[in-house]
Amino acid sequence: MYHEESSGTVSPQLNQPPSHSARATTDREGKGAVCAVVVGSDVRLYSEGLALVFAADGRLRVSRVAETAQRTLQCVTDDDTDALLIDATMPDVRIVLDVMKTGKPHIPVIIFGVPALDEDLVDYIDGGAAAFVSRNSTSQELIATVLSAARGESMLLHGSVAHVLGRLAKRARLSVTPTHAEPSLTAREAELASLLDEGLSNKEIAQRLQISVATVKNHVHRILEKLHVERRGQAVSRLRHSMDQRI
Amino acid sequence: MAAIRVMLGTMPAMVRGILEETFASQHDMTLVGSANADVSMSATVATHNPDILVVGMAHDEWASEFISLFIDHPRLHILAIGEDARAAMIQELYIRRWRISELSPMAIVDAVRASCGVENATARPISNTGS
Repeated sequence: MYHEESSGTVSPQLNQPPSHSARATTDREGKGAVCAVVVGSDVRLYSEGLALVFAADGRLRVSRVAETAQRTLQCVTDDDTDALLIDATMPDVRIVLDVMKTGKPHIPVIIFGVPALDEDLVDYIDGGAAAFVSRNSTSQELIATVLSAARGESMLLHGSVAHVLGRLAKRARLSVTPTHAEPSLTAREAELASLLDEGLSNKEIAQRLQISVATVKNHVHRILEKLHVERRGQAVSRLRHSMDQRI
Repeated sequence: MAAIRVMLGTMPAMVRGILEETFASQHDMTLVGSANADVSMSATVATHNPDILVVGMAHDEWASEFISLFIDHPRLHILAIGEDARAAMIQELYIRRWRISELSPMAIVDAVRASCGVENATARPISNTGS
C-alpha cells in the first residue's frame, strides 16, 4: 500500500522515459502521497504516454518502465513500487502475475488494455490481478483504478461482472479433479490444449478463441510448463497419453 | 509561425488521454477539437479546420474512411494510429509534377497511361511538390 512521505516529485518529459527515483513522494502542492507505479508494456505510446498523463495529474508517477515480463519483474521493488500496471498484450503476463502473487502479493497488479468481455479475465483474476482497465477507459478512470488498487481495493471492468460470473460458472461445470499423475490444466488451458491437438498454429488458435496471439503464447507457455515439456508436440503427446490412461 | 492545428478523431479513450497530454505539452501545436460521434468527421473537420487529424482505427479501415475526407478537405493531413498502438501511417494528398522530355506522340500517350496508373508505362514523375 502506498503511504505519505515527503520529498520532491518527478515530472517526466516527452521522449525522456521517467527515471527511477524515491517512492511515494508528495506532489508539488503537498496535497498528498504520490503513488509510484511500474509500467510494463512494450508499446511506447502507452508506457511513455501514461508517464505524461500521470505527471500531469500529480497523484501517480511512473517509477520505471519495462518492455518485457522479465524486466518488469526486475523493476518491481518493495521500496519504489506501490502498484504494477501491465499491458494485457505484453507476452507472459501470466508469468508476471504468478511471480507477483507468490513473491510480492502486497503490490497490486493492474492489467490495462483488457476488453470488458475478454475470455482471459477469469484467468487474470485467478492469477491475482487486483484490477482491470480497458482501452476505452479515460485517463481519470485509469488513475482512479490504480489509486484504488494501491489502497487494496479490487476493481472489475464496467460491464464485465456478468461475463466473469458466467465464465466462473462454466469453469465450475468443466472442472475435473485431476489424479495425482495428471497435469492440472485449467479449463481454458484444456480448451487450448485441444486446439493444439488439432494442429492449429498460435494465430489460428487466436482467431478461433478470439483472443490475441500474445495471450495464446501465454497459455501455451503455461501448458508446456505444467506438463514439464518443451515443445507443443510433446504436450499433445503427453495429454493423449494421459487421456488413454483415464480410459 | 502559427501553431499547428491538431484535431483528434475517434480512438480509444486511453489513447485520447495520452495524446491530449502529449499535444498540450508542445508549444507549437494546439488542439482545436475532437470528433463527435453524432457529427460526421468531415463536418467536424470543416468546423475546426485542422492542419492534421489524428485517428485510431484498424488498418483495413484506413483507405475507405479517408477517401471522402480527402475529397472534402484535400489539404488535410491524417495520422492514423493502428489498433495495436505500435505503428501509425501518415496519409496526405500531394501534387505530382512530371516533365515529359523529348515530346512525341508516343511520349504523350505513354504519359497518359502512366498518369492513369497503367503499370508498364515508361514515363515517371521526376519531382514532387507539397500541396
